[in-house]
Amino acid sequence: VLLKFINYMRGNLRVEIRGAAVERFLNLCVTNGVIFWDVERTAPDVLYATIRLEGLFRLRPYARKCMCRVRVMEKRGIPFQTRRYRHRYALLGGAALCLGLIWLLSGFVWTIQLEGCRQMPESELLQLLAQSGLRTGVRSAAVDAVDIKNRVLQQTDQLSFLTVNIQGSHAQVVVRERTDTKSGIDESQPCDVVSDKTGVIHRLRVRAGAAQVKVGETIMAGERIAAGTMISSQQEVWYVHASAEADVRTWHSRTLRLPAEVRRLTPTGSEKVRYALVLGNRRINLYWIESAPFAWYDMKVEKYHLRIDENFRFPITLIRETWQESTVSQAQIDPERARQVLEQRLLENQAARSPDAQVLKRDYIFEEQEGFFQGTLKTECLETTGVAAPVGEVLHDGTDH
Amino acid sequence: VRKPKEKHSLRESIRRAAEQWDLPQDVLLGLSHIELEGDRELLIDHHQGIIEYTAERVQVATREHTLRIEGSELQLVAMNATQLRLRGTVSSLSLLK
Repeated sequence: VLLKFINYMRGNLRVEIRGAAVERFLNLCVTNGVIFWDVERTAPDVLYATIRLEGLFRLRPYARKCMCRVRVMEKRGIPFQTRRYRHRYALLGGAALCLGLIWLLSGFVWTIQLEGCRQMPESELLQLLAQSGLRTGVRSAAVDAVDIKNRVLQQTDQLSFLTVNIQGSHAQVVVRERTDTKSGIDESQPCDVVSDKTGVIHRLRVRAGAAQVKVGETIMAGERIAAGTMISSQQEVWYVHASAEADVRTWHSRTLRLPAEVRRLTPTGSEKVRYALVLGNRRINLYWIESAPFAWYDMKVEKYHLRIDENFRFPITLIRETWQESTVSQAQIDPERARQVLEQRLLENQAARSPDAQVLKRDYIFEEQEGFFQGTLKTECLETTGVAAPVGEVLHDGTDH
Repeated sequence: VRKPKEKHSLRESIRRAAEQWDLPQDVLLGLSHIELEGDRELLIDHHQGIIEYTAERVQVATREHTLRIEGSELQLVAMNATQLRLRGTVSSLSLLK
């Protein structure tokens, strides 16, 4: 297939070779670099073959030598097809202009893709990037990824990592948000370790400082696990940067409710389609009516970005909005379905609240009340706790040792 | 009494050496390399030209022999200075000295 495509691009000819010594003619041609394919013998003195365009001019002398006559029967390929357009200057000019524009526009950043924004609003990051020199329409060559990274990270403390990848006219910005919740107390400063969870201590690891609790005891959120204030048997006091963590058993109970009756939208089948074009940041509506066409509707928005490939995008987006008319009716929720939905939501909620917790026991209670369904998830978990906090209570005045 | 040494031509010596060391003879001696795919397609490397070409019989010159291919609907699919590809239904192949 590739070979056929190459031959098509270079142009090829179907020729008729007529003569008494066609085999000799073929041999003479191939030894002198003219290649043949699809050779077909139709009569003892007639042969059809396909040759490359440049081969035609080279085989004339050999044809004379072998007393053969060569006639072009068919011309195939791009050189012959483009030949007919050679006097259409406007068309050629337009094509050249188009290529020039593509070349020119490909030197600018047209799309910015953000990855890794979870807590930080994307608009805020885009604003910071714009202030640092990365915005839609800026020249790709003028974007200094290192400089942008340094500037943005200096201006915000929400991010711990940022990288800018420029691929053609597309800028990909990957960020990692700061997730550490430590109080940020320097390791050279004394501190306590307190619990941020309430539960029963299952395991205790104290690396530095004086343990304030024992395994099996109950600890409340805010209570100290290890103190940074150490007292010797001679009642001497000194301070350390305490380091400890405790695995605590915690119990959580969460309840969610779901109304038994919901409003259901049923499509009537009638729909309207609207188009809009977005050029850069400007939206051009390709319709006249502004207001919503139906009282109750469901809207489906499809966006089509103009791009050649993943890295070569244009700032042009076609938006297709399909408005589907619907009627409203009250519908009863199936209790079994409600049970599943509530359980699913509660599990998701639990996973989001304590992502690192190891669930030891789970108990789900589903109740049907008047007008609503209620789901309660009770979990027993094993969680790790221990955050640094400034040294709280000073027992004695003393100097550091 | 020392046994008189057999005298070989250089070409024959190369052939023997190639056989002994398991080296490709077609590369060393420029011999033709013939590949037949089923009875449908035939590839000849290092040919020396076509002697006869019809739909029923094709004769190709190689360095040491003439290769006669007989069959039906034989067609020369591609040909350049070193390679030649034939397609059709091959019924017999013979080497003529």
